[in-house]
Amino acid sequence: MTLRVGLVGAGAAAQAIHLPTIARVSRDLVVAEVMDPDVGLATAVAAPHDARVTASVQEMLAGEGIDIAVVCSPNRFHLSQIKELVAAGVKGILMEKPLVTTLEEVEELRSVLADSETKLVVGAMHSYDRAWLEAMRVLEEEGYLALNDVYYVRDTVYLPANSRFEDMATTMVRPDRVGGKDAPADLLRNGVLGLAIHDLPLIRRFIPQFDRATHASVLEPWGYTLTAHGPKGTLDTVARMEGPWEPDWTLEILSHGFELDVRFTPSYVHPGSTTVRLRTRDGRERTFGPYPDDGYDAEWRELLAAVTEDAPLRYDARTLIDDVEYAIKCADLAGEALAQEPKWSVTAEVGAK
Amino acid sequence: MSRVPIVVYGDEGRERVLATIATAPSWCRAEEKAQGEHVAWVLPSADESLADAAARAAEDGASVIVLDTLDAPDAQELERVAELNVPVEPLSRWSHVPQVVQLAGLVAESEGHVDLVDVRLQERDAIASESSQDVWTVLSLLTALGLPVDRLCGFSQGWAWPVWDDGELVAFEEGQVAFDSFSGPVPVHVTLTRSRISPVQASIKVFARTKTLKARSGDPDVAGVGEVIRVDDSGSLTLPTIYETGSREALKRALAIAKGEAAPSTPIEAHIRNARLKESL
Repeated sequence: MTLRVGLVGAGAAAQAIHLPTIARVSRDLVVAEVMDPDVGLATAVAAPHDARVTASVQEMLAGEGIDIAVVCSPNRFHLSQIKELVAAGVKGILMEKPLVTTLEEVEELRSVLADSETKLVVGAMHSYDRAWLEAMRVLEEEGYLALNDVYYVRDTVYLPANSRFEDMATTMVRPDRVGGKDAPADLLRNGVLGLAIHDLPLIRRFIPQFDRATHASVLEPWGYTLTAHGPKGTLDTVARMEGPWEPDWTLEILSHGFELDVRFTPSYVHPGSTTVRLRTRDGRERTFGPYPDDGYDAEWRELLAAVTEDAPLRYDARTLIDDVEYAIKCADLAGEALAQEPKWSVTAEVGAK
Repeated sequence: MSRVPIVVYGDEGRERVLATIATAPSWCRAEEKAQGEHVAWVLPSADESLADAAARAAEDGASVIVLDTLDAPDAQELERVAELNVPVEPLSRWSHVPQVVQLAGLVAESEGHVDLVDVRLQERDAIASESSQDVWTVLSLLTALGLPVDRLCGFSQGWAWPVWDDGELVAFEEGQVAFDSFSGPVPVHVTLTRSRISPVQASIKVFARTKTLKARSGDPDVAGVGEVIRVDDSGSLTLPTIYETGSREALKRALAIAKGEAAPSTPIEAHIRNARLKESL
């Protein structure tokens, strides 16, 4: 059965992540529509697929129709585009994260998806990573997750500029956009909702809520630090991009019963799964991965099975909405912490007594 | 060639120091009592302050004092040691670990270009019981790297280890410290946790616009495998592992100072500033 796929947004995520994954996952997926307000970009991306080019979702939906939409547009358009796609009865949506960006939008999204038959998958590839899921299965089976005693999570992301990896994944067609520099508060919020959000759904399992952020800062030229606390656990996160260094993306989870050390691969490239090292208090150490298939493959396979076989989704709409609500609250706390003077700050002065 | 006499003052960790001296029998010898010029290795002690022991060593004719600051001395004590007019080699838990020393060399080559430092320490659960001790450990390490901290902010500490009394949860011991700091204009993010599951280790990452410097080291009391890497656009360089403990590295430095071949690896004034920062907690 052929499924018509429509790209909503033709930028890097569409070109470097989803088109190569679609080609790997199934011959039944046909890229039929490419929508982007930058029609020149859309035309260049559509050409190898003989896909139709449009400049709006409305225009795209007025054509022969699509079965699956891949939403890779700027975040601010996400909610309105989901509404249009759901209303049109699109069978499946693969939605790049974040689903939405404000708590008000979260509530609206809940009502939009409440009675929808549309199958929704969010492009949070780490949530679908096989090595991660294998480690979670073992922790569940051995009773460690039930202990609920994670006290510390550290997420660090040191990556070169995305363009390096985009070019490794495809022959990128780049738009002629010139981006301005974000204000610090926007940079921090975009950092949490654009980068930390890859791992926040994983972290939510262990620190289900945050009460406060003790510190947040913005790093030049692009990066942030954030230390946030829940009732029992602390999240400590640092991100820094735009340098020439080797990619280094790790997630550490510490509890009394087990410790996880996760090594992620960079975004855009398709190098297989992550590697997860699990140490448990009985002295055992186990390693999961790397497996040849990555989280991008798994997202698409899951959506395909849901659309064609009505297979259950690993993460239902409610879970996905709760995930984004968690991320937004985390971003809000980060913003509050950034706006405040540090509660604790001391300076050493040479010669001071 | 004459062997340099070394006298150990204080008793906490004495066996470790004597074992270290025994790894260099051709260079030095341990003496029970000073008989003139010697290297003094001053350890914490229950019945004598670090400063008093150092003063006694100076009176005994010490030409160099290795000051073991594992127990986080206060600024006043260090000021008194600084006034003795004897070269001092301050030693702390991670300061002389070979990978830290190697990384310090690479950092020195990158002076002025570093724009972010990330320090991640995983300690044994029983090493320290106060967060000020952990802060001292990290500040000393950063001083050894050539990135002394002059501002701390956003300090947070967490509670990790449940303390049970007759089946009742009575408290949580401190188990983690995280803070942001600055070495001049350079942001330094620090996390120290204590674990009963994973081994002791340090991971230090230094980012500059054109390169990354990374060091990874195991338990500083063990001469184990370590890793120091520089990555830039031209490729990467991995330095060979030096299978020595931090104590032996400190011993070598002290002997070089005694012979007039080297200066202390870090000025004691930097440690006085660290102590003040720690005390402001």
